[in-house]
Amino acid sequence: MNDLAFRKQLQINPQQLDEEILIYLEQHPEQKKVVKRVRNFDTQIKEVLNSEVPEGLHARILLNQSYQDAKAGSAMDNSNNRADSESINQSRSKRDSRVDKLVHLWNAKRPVSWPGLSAIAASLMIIAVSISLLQAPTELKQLNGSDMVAHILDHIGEDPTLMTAIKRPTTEADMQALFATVGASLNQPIERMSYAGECVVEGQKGLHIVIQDKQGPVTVIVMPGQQIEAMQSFAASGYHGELLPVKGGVVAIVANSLEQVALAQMRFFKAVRFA
Amino acid sequence: MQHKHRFFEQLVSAYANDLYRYAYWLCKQPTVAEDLVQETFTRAWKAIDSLKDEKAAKAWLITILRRENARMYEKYQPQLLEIEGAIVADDYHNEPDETFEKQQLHQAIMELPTDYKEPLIQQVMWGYSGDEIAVQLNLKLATVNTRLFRARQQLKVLLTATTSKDSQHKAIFGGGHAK
Repeated sequence: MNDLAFRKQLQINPQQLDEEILIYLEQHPEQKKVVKRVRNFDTQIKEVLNSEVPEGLHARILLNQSYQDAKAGSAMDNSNNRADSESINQSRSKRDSRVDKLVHLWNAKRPVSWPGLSAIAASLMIIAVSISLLQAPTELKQLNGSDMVAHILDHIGEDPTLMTAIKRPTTEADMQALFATVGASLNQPIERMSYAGECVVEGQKGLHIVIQDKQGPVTVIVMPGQQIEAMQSFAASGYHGELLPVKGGVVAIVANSLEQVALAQMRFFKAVRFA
Repeated sequence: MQHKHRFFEQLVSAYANDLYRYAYWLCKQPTVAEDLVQETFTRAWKAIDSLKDEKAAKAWLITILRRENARMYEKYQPQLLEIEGAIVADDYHNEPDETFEKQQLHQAIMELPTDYKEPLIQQVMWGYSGDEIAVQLNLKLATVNTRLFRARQQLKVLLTATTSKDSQHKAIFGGGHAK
């Protein structure tokens, strides 16, 4: 092996030195520093290639899969033309069980007591709850998932008119400032956002957003303070929803159907990032 | 069915991040990369019964992702940059120093033609051997080796060019206060 062949082989794979190269290095120990340099360069390449992965990617993939599964189940149900209520219930039960492996379904422990919610039953709701630990007061009470859901639904019920209100910061800077209050930033505008403003849920300051989706209004609430270990989804009072962990907080999504949750979640995380 | 779901979850857990990174370096756009990964797993879920050997899952997923990427950029023809046949000298000046900005290296990898970038990613990030890359990319081993060699060479060229520009910029505009 000559110098040219040595250097070429090194560039092909600096991590695997064959016998020929090792013999060459024994004969030319001064070339070991070249090996070291090329390996260092490879380490740098590896570090750069190890780019940041978006938050909640796994959860979104699993949610999308469960949605696809439910959709396929629904199509099958329709083709079988099961019109009677007994069959429909069986079908729903079957679908739920399919989703159950990926999604923890909760039933709200307390009855729904807010009449406003019934009026917006057909509306899509997304509630994003983001808690920035840095901004959160140290005495902040940590809620479990079901309590968090109850608080969120209560909060929505307090002012259902926000679902149709049109009010949001007019400049991009103001919008970014609003998101920054909960440790988030916008990569791109959230399409059809009709409302964005601060809110308070159970004493915790957050951000409330409403998106006007084709199938109805979408509500987003960002509030500081909580943590969960992994994605948790729920079904309560006819709504589907999910809580997603993000950096320093939690994102919760609620909708009328799993499909709406999945689609809204993708849209939300495409636009919003948490620092 | 339970096993199918569990296996799918394991695939997502084990490979989603690396698939995203792979997609990102191929398409260069985070949102498109996520779409690619989503589509990859959607297709994987539909065809999961056809995966006989679980050990082959990694290669199988890359194949799906590459196919999806190709479909997305069906009409896109990458232009390969010709580089000198001679080896760029491994002297001090052509080697990026250890404190070289990652951002510049990031940009250099971005600019690398896909044909060179893919085998490099598979080798450096996935730990694939030359033979495995050859199978994955449907190339001859010699071609893979040539591309790996050229990928590293071209990165050095791109980085050297960047540092030269930076040096020129500093020389012209100054890096600090005039004395």
